[in-house]
Amino acid sequence: MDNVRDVLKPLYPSPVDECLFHAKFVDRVYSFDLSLWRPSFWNPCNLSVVDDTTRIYATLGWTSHRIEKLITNAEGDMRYYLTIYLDTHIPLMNYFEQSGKATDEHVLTDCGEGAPVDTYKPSTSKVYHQGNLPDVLHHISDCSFFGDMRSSNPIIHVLSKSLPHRCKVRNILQIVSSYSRKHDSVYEFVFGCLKCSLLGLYETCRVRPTLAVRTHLIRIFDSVTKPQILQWMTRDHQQLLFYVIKEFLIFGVQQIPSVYAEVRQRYQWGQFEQSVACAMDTVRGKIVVDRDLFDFKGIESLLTAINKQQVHHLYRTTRHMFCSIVALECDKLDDANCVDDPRTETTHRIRELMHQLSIRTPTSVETPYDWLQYFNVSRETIRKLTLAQETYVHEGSKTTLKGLLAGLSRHEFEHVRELSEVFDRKLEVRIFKLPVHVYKRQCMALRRKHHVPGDQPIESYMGQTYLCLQCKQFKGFVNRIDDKGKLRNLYAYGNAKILFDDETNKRYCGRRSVKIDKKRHHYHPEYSAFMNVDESVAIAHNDERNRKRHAKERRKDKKNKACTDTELTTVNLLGSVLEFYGQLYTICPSCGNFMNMTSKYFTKDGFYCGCCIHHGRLYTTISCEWCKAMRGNEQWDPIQVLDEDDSVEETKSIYLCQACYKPWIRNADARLKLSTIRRGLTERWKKLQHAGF
Amino acid sequence: MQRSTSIMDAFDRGFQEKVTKKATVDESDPDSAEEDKKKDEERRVKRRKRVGGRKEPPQPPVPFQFKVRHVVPTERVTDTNFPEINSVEAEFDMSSRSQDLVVAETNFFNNKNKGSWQQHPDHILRPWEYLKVRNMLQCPPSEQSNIHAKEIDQIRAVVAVMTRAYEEEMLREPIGSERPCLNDDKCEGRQMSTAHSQGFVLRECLLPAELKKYEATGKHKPDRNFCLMCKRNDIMRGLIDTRAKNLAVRVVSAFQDYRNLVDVPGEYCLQNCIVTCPEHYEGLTDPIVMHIRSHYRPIVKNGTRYYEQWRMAYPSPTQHFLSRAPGN
Repeated sequence: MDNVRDVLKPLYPSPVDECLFHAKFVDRVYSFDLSLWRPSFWNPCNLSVVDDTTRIYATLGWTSHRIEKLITNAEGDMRYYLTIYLDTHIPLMNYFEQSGKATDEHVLTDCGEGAPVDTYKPSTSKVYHQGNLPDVLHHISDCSFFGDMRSSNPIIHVLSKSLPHRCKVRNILQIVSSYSRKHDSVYEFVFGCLKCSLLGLYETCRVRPTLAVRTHLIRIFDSVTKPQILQWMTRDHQQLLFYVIKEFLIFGVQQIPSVYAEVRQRYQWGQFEQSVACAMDTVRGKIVVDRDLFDFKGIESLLTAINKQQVHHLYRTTRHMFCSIVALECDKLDDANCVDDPRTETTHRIRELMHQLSIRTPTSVETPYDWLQYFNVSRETIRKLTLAQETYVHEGSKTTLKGLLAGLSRHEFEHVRELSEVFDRKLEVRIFKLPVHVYKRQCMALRRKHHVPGDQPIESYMGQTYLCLQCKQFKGFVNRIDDKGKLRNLYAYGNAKILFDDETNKRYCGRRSVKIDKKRHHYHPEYSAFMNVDESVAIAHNDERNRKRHAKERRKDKKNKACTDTELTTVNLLGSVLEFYGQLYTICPSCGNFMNMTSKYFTKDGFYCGCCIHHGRLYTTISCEWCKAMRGNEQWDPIQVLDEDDSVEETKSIYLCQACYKPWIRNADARLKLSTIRRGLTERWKKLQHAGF
Repeated sequence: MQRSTSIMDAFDRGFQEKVTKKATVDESDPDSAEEDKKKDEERRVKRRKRVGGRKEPPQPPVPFQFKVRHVVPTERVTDTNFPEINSVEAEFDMSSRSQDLVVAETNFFNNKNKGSWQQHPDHILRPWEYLKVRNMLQCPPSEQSNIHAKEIDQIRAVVAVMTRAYEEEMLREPIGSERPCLNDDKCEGRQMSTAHSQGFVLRECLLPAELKKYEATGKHKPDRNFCLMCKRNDIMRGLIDTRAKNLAVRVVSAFQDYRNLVDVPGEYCLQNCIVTCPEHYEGLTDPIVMHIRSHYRPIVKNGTRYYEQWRMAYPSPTQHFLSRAPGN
């Protein structure tokens, strides 16, 4: 906001208000008619009369009174701007209150730190308002509006806690306090929200504190320190903080029309907005000037009561599709029942048939369980499943599902699971075409990688890889940066863990048998003496657990066997991006290797894998300037040298391997010429020599 | 006289002697009897050697027994003396029988009662339902689920590059023959809170190639387009809608027709842009600036009203334009 007076000027053209908005503060002071002043106005020094020696004091009193009167009569946005205009005067008013002296002489005296009238003169830049809040609006679109994914970004986590979902208030105090302690950005954000909410500095606020409360609050906000606020947070202010962040979220969402439109359509966002606004208006109306104003007595209980009334418009997120939930529940049941072979009633053919059917239907949130009738599943089971699905889709509840699945015969159970897994696979395994500019660069990268001349076509195997749909593995080598920051698979060709049948030319998954986790809590009577459990019960429990573990191992063996028996699926990623069980795979348009599309690394030409470009150069083009050595994944640091070209010196980056990077080059005080380095390396200098020698 | 007997007599006497030999032995002297015994014993030994075995000892005498005839008891079965014949449960009582047997019998029974399409593992559908399923299978698969399909000459989206400088020129009111935004009064340029009810409708956003053509010919395309703000808003709405449905994008290709440059000097920061999330493809391959109303403010340049993107920072000059983006 540049200057709030510019907004208000055209709206109040009357002669009384003309001087209020049209003139600067100094002009207003000297043109102020002292007869307009009344002791009932703002008057902390309790003056009964004012004269030319208290002109500034009197002007402030009349101005605040006049603006308060205008605020009472104003509507909508104007109240907000008038409040901000009033707030511009509060620093100077606070100075008068704290000093206890009302004379102009006092505020016009510079004691070395500038005259108070200059320091505290009304200015829009000194006022806190919604526009001064830290810019975190770009995080709002990443909040978990429609899922329960927790972000690693603290701001997104804090904002997501204020969404109208169930149980969001839980631990909010600890989370906000902890983040504020660790991250200054979170502290500034929360403190800013607190200021805006308590002072009513959002444009949409309908109730704002009185002038006396505002001056008091602003004085506290100006003087309070971070440790004090952190300590304040640890006291009983959970609901207040919860609502303060909610109020910001409402403001923020309104700034992003696309998000606003979607949440209005899917949430009962209107009700949420209204209830939060009402609650915070009530809070602002309840604040009174008091010594313990910042304790906000009675506010917590008030907000708790309001919060309890809002259960009816809470949004329940559905992170997973119903088919995924069914597949998961089936696995859990098999685990609990110690089933050795999860597939005795279904075959690979049935699964493939179901999959072929599934990819021919439009994608929907509902799985067509009525197809199960073709696979000899009773109509009653189908009816119950469909009902459970409807309940899950509309209410997010899956309470009846477990009992329903547990009561099915093995034949029905396995067919229900197969259909659910097939639809889960349909949603998780998909391919999309990439735009022209990415496709072109991928073609070029593959040609470079496989040394295909421009006049020859790209072979069909280039860009091709395999998928195991049993163990859900992508078989190509994917460029990545590991936990230690090292680049992986940059020079890798081929595919990982594949069995090749040289008689049939078919490929199978060669995934090794992965044993289940060995970290078990074995029961030891001598260590468990303090436990109030009968030993026989504990041993029985242990036996049961062992039985489950063995069954799980046998199931794993079966799955591994199924893995080696199922032919791998071939897929070519040239010009396509493959969505495969929560990962996006494609070919890096820079290096031609497979990559995860993480949307983190971009060049001016588009995305890339994040591994193949160092200091602006592709890894394949980096070699030692002198010996032309290429050292695999070695980290190269460019060396700045002077390159002489037609007697004009230009700075150039070159790379030298460890053998050629001699101490005299490394320790040179000035930037060396490229010709000097070449000569020195030719003549095998031990130390830097003058060019004339 | 006796010697004078005939041959016939001699034969008779010899015959008589042979028949009555034993009686004559007993009547003979003891020495000759012992000799006979020895001869008999030798004869027996010879026979034993020839036969090679010993005769079994004689069987003890069998005691006398009554001969009893066994007959299967019979009874007339009626529902009065056997009421369970009318009950199925009694026949299949699981408690009194081996569980394995019951399972085996049940399986056998079920197997025998299956249709032929079920008895054979290859027959997975009932014949009367095969037609329905075949009809469904005859539809083409959805393009995004058919991962095996590979066409070289696929139609792909053309995504133009719009630089920040180009976009800033699009954030102004229309001049001369330029057309206003397709949304007219509902244009995002009118909704800006920072404009204090003095917002204005922005010019139609043309892609660089379209602008070039317009400048060359002075003619517009028949269809009017959105302004830059409405375009950003529209694309972002699509992205949020995709996320809200939790189904990922339904379109096969990107739904953006332009892209912005990020972390390149003089361009945008990635944090101010929207991109596809790493888990699901959401229809964006390249970043596009997200539309946030408070990021713009109106300014006047040479008498023309513009919106300035004042809250969209420039990338840090110290950072290499190809290195990792901030905040990621």
